[in-house]
Amino acid sequence: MTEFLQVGLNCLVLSANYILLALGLTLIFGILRVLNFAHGTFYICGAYVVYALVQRAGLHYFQAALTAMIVIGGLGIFIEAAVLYPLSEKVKVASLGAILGVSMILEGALAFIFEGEDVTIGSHFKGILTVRGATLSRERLMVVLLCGLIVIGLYVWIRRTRQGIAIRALAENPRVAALQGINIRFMRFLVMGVASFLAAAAGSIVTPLFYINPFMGGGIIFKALLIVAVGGMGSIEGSILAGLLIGVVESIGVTYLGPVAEVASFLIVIAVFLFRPQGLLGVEYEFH
Amino acid sequence: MNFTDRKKKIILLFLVLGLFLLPLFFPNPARIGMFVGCGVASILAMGWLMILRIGCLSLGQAAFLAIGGYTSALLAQKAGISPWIGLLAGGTASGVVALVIGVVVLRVRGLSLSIITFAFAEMVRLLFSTLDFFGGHGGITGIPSFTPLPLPALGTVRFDSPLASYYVLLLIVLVCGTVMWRMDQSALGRIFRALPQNEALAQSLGVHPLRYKVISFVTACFFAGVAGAFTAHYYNVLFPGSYTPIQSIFVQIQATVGGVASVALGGFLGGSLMVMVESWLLNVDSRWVYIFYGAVILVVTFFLPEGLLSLPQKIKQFTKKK
Repeated sequence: MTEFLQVGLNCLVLSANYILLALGLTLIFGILRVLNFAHGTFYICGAYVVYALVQRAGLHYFQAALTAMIVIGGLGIFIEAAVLYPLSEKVKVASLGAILGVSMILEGALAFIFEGEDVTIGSHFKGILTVRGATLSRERLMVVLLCGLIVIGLYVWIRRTRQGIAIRALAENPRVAALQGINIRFMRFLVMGVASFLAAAAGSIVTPLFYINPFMGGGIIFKALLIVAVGGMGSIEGSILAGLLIGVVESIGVTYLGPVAEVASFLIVIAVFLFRPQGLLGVEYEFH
Repeated sequence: MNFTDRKKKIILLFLVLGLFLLPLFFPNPARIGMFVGCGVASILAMGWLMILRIGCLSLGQAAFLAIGGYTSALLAQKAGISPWIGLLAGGTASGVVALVIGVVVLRVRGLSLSIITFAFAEMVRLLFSTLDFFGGHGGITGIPSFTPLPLPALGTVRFDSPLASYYVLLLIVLVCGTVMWRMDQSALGRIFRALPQNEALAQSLGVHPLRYKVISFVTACFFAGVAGAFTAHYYNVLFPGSYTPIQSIFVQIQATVGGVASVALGGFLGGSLMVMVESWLLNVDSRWVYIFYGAVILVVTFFLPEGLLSLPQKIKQFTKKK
């Protein structure tokens, strides 16, 4: 029971992080029809902004996190305006290549700015909690809680507000949505901004937990992509479900089988694609 | 045969001749090492373009390089099989894996397929780096070099020098390029190109989409495997760390820079040029490599979407306007 609780919490921390990223990815995919490979880089950029503000400028952690989210949100909007929108009418190879380019330039720049060792900041929530013999650090509990709140907020926004309805309509059929008076240009900006904001949120949440380095984005984006694929491209609920699923499988697997268990995520993806090519909760999209 | 065709053939002939004579002008072993890197990149980029023909944006070419390399290395080390057979064995292993994977995943289309290839590559790398049988994180060291071969007219030739290896790789590149070029020009190539445009229509004309997709995929991965086996015996070591997703992404960028118009030429041009600049940058600071690749792909996407191959045409258009 004790061990189970411990593993359970670990996998929640993992899932929470993945879900925040996957939600951004799936939103971007639904509206912009781009696989945002730079998303992992946004995440790392967010983490580094927090690191720089806390460690070098001496700001409070929460101030730093908020600044990071706003800065990275702005970065996302800028990239949409400068790179993705001009390419939106072109073939998908173009925007995929361009976003890869953006991501690599950002990674290279980060490596130049923050030279040397991997970094982290001290944990902000001190202390541990003991529940039935399992020791849970406050830090990790807060992470899960914060991620949970953000996810619920996002879910309500997508499901219950007019803007959310517009976004879903756009994801389903851009042409008809535009005929209903939905401003596609604005929605693209909005989605890109929100998604980058989420990536930075995920990034700032992990800075106190893990050591970060500029090239970490690749591994993270890989997981997030798998989650989006398993959950169904463009599906919010699917991403949440798949994020939990992969987080659970992974932390149980790694605990009991070792690093080989990460292969399990891939097997899940293959299985899902074989039996439900559109993903667990996805709808089929037309690609162009 | 009209004039331009003939001109093209002569240019091609000179290109091949130049490649054979290249080591005479640059006898420095380090330079030859760079050319070897170019050759391997060319093979991968050609394969990537071949797979692009069927509408699949592969993000997992590094995996097939790894499979070929590990197969040949393990065969040579554990079973004592000659590296020359290993080259074929590596290619075959990659081809077989590509066949099995391809039959399963090539039913999926579009960006989902890209994600699958990406995930597959990462899984292969994880397996190689975690299982003790494959040497774990440390990889495999002490892989035997190419053994001497008795050649007609030349006597017994040793193949453990960079120069000799260069010629081996050159032959592989030429074979790969010729096969890809012929495939692309033939009816097969036209079917490949029809599939992403309108699969249903192709199907109604009696084309079995999956079969042709698999043919393209397996051919590309076979040559990637051969290239992988070659690198194993050339460098004598293998590390799982050299097959990270970023390597697959580099392949994509190289191929896109070269140009999609011709599989063989685009792959060769993009692979060679990018690796030349890359190896120069590596001497300065490895971080510039990322920025360089990123900047190049951005510039190419915006200003030269058809790649370097379309550059002469673009220049001609530009000068005509003036």
